[in-house]
Amino acid sequence: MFDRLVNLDRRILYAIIFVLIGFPLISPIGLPISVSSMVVAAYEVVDSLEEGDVVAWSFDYTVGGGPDCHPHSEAVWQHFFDKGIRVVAVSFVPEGAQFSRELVMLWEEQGKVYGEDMIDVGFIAGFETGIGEFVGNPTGASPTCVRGTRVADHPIMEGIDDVDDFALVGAIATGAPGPFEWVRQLAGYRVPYLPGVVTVMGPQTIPYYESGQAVGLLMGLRDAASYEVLMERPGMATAAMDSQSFAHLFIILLVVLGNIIYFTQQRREADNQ
Amino acid sequence: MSTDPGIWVAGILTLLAYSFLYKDNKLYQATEHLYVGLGAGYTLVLGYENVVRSGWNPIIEGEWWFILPMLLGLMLFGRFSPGTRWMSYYPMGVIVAIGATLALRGAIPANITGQLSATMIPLNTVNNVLLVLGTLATLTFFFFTLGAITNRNSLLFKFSLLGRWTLMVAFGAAFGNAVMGRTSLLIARIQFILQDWLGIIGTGL
Repeated sequence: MFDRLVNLDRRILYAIIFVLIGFPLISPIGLPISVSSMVVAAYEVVDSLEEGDVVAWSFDYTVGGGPDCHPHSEAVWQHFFDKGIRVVAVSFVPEGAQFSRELVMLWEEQGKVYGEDMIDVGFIAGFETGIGEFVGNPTGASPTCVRGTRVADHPIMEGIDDVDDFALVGAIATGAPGPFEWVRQLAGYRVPYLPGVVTVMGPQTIPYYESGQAVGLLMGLRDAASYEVLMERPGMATAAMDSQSFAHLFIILLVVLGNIIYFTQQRREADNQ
Repeated sequence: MSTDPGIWVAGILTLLAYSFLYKDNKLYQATEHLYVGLGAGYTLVLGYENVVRSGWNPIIEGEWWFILPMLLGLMLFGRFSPGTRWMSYYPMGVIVAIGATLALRGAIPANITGQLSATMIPLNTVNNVLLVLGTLATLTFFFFTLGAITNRNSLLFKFSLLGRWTLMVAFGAAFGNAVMGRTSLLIARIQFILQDWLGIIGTGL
């Protein structure tokens, strides 16, 4: 039996994974979702903001990492607008500008006013240099927003001279520029910094939360689901968690099975010798 | 089922991209090339928009000093010809100098003193003890020049083994996160196919 498993066509495994992910999406089971202390901290920081506060939100993610990162922006923006918080969207990754445009348009359809409740500064070139410029001069880093109006002329930017005038800076990233660049550029400023990262970057980013340099941390789709749970507004991230659990269980099973086969074969070879 | 042609194109391209899992084929390769081409085109358009918005428009509106960064940017193109390559050295020097200065300005408080002080914590919980021991042991693992570290019976060598185990745990966590991240990407595509394209599942819970 082990020999058959070792030589199993990998396409059968792919098909099983597809079924395990697709089935819970069609018929959700509702497995419990645990919430990490880092997500609770992120939620509490946003929840402690007051109506009218202005926050900066940076879309530093690519299309490839979008499915893991965009749900962070969707969930936290929902929380922002539930509380009447205003948002300045910006991006230091070319593809991130596409996500910010999409979200701003979505909220405009929901009745939010461009220029008062939110603006989209768009893509600022230069990666870390661009972040450094935005941190020191949010209205001047890009002269105009994506719609051609001077950034400084929007009512939302009134009284915003440097990054400390924001109530919070959130930045969701799939790589560079990401938390490492943001923490470096925010050194010396008092504004709370909330990073969100693609799941792979999680372990590298946790030290910034442990050291207090980040006020919370969102890692991948799972933490977007946790955030939705805390808001009591289950969305597509929450719906995806059953699929994630099923896929993980299957992968764990494969890892255990692979190890059993490996050690059994080693023992068999030793016995034969 | 969606009636939006854009959704249909995206759905079919998703299936063509995943067809590689069955076998490499021409349709997959075409999809791959299309993605690369679209990415390059998008970046080009965004770059053009960015230059117009951040450079050209301010000059037209009278902020003439924006000519200087525009000029430096144009000089970068000098590298494409051997005769004019020297022109690109100057803007490159400016980019490196500004980038290095900006990164160094925050590097010490962000990555050295900030992280060091985060390790100086009271040893009153299991987590704190693990954090301090793990950090010290991992640092010990990277002592390559001390004589004691090569002696397998020394306490320092045994402590460095703990560092190796700490690293293994960290790599395991990183691998677990990598698996979770890749699964999330697959879930998003299947969600798109089932929800946005085929309309089999609803838009929320």
